[in-house]
Amino acid sequence: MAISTDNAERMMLFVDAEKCTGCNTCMLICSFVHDKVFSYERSRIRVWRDDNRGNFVPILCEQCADAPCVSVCPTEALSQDKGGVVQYDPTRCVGCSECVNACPIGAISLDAQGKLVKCDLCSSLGTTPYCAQYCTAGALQWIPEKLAARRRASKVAQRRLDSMELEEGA
Amino acid sequence: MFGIAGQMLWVDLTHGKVEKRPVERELLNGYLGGRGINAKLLWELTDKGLDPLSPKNPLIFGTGTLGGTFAPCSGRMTITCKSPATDGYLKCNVGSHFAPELKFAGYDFIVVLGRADHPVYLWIDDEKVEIRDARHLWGLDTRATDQLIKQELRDDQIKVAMIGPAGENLVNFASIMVSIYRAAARGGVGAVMGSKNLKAIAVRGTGDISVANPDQFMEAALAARRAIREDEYCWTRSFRFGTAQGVIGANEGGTLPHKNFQDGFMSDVYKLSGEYASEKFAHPEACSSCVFHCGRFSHVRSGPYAGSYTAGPEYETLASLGSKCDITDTTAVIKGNEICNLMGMDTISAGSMVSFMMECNERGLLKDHDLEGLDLSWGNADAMLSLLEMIAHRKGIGDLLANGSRIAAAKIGRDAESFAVQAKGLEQSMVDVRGSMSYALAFALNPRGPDHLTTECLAEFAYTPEVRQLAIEVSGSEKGVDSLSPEGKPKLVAWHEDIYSVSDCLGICVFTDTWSYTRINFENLATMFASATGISMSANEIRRRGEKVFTLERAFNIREGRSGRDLDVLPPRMFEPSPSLKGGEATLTREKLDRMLQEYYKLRGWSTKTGVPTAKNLQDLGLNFLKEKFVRE
Repeated sequence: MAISTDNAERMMLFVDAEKCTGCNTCMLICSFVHDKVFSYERSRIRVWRDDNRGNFVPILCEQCADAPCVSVCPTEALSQDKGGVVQYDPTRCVGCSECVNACPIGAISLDAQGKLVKCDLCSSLGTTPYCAQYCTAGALQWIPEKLAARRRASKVAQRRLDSMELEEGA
Repeated sequence: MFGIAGQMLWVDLTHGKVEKRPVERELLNGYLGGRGINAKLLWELTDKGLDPLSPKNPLIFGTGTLGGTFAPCSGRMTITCKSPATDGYLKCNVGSHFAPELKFAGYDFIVVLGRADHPVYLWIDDEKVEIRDARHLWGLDTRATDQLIKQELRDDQIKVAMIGPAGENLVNFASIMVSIYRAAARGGVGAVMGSKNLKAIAVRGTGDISVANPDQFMEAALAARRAIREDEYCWTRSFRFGTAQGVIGANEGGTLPHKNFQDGFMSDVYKLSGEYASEKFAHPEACSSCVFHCGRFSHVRSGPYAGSYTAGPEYETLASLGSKCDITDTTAVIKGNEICNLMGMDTISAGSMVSFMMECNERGLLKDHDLEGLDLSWGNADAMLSLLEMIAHRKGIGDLLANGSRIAAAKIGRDAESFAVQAKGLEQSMVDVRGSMSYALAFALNPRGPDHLTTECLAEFAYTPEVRQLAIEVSGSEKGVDSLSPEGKPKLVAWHEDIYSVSDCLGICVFTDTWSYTRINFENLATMFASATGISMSANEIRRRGEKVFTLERAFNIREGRSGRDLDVLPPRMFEPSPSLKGGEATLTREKLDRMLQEYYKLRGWSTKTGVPTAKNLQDLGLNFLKEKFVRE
């Protein structure tokens, strides 16, 4: 999962897909703060819609610890910084798209100019991730890494309790 | 162009031709976009007396000027044509994510003209636009249509607007479903699409939209988003319960339509409430760039309607298919909502047909009609569901009901017209206007008929101190918040009409105007418009343009030959006393409505006799081209 540092706490972008309502605000804000245009294609985050089941899944770079994109990059255009964020140097990139193929979750794409579109947790802007700042549904949260597992566990526990109640009721 | 994509698509289905035309800056400046430009295009493309189902009726899709940006709740689109239900002006505003996708593909407007000789659909893949065969899709419901088109085009993320069987069968209140979540529902837009043999429009947009002044736009838009989000009252209720939050309040106020508007109160209403539905069946879903997330996606897992799933139910649907038919089973309403969405049919009008028939049945007016064994007693959910299917497929008695309640009531006769709750041919939406004078006035004035989407004056109910203050300021009277007093209501209604009009042009959801009063206002709407497009615009100027668009829409109906009383009407039932309000007296009288109308006409600068805009009014608004058509000096 995603991590980042300042000197203090390790933070992460926590994705709670169940809360996503598919408003796409994250996509619109992402393309705008990075590229000054509104565009789904230029967004580093994508909300995958399954209208028929009412599911919306945000997909973005997980800043893998042992990142396949970094390993396959022939020109070291991709590298992991001290905080664990996979950074992109467009001046080294040759547009070979090895990283697009290597990414296990489809979080990297190439734009029309052959440059990478990939999340850097807004580290290049020097702010906390904009998508999390403006996610009103709470599907994207910028939280201390140490709380992430607790939050996930709490949700899973709640679901189990709910299903137990159902069984008792039936 | 900034803010907009800058192009229109003109589709001639008769000749199978597609043409791209620029959106002129003057047009954007004069009519703001979306609903406004649609109104101008419809005016120019039609003449008096046009048959709404003829190939000459244009079907215009117009995205809002701020669509595709992160301006709050900004992804909406207006669909405009002449209505087969009312023979008058029709605009339908719809959410979802279609408008941003269309703008990213490079188009702000689609103007569909003519009629294809067999069913087709339109595929817009950025600059490539294709008219494709849709014979294999004809007859399919909207869910299957959506899935099949996505499979065929091998992309499950494209956006589709489509009709279902109701639109194909020219049901007078057929909707256009925009994705399977959102309906452009009212007045028969779906029938117009069906009459053109156009099954669907699919779009993929990989381009982008830029704005003239990025820093200023970002500041204004994000500040507005934060302001709305910080309004805890509005946020909590809309996110948790959606529009269905209104059920219990309307019931307490005696204005929840019950038994075809016979009264406005239903006991044991909790099961129809947003509080109950959200807890049991629904989770929130949102249109593009939304801050409220009022949309619902519901799934019924047990009971006789297990397996039903659909977008909704909204307040309107819970009242229309529920309380108005004396049905309290939410799962039946969800099932009914699913049928309407699959068939592509307006839940408001469809439910109105059912409750109208139930009252006909109660009065013994249906003895000459073959009901095929249907028991139309109040509260019979299965009869409601069967009737919906029959209407969509024009089967049996459904064939008559598919024409809407104006025509059905005339055919059934024996005074049925007195309790068909429609005016101008449109079934009234689910507010009993006898309990609210501003709603009564606004519903009467609405060019498309008595409903809440040209304006909804919630401020009258003064639900927070802030809202109360605004209502008093705008109406210029302490009585502005007395919902049974006509005083101050003309000003209150005019203000609401103007801000709704501006919001629709910009593609901003009108709920922002009235759920988060003051947080969206003419000032920040003007700032967002100006910084996005680079066209300078003050708060006052943008309001005047809103008024101009509203006047132009009214002008369409005047050109059809209507004036005065014909233009501004309410269903007859609204002048009967409601047992749920006051001591059984009529709360709304024709005199009261007339008094408000007179005052309103004067305020707008229209003739107080005929309700027609004067030459001076048209001059002031920049609508000189209307003069020759209908103004007698």
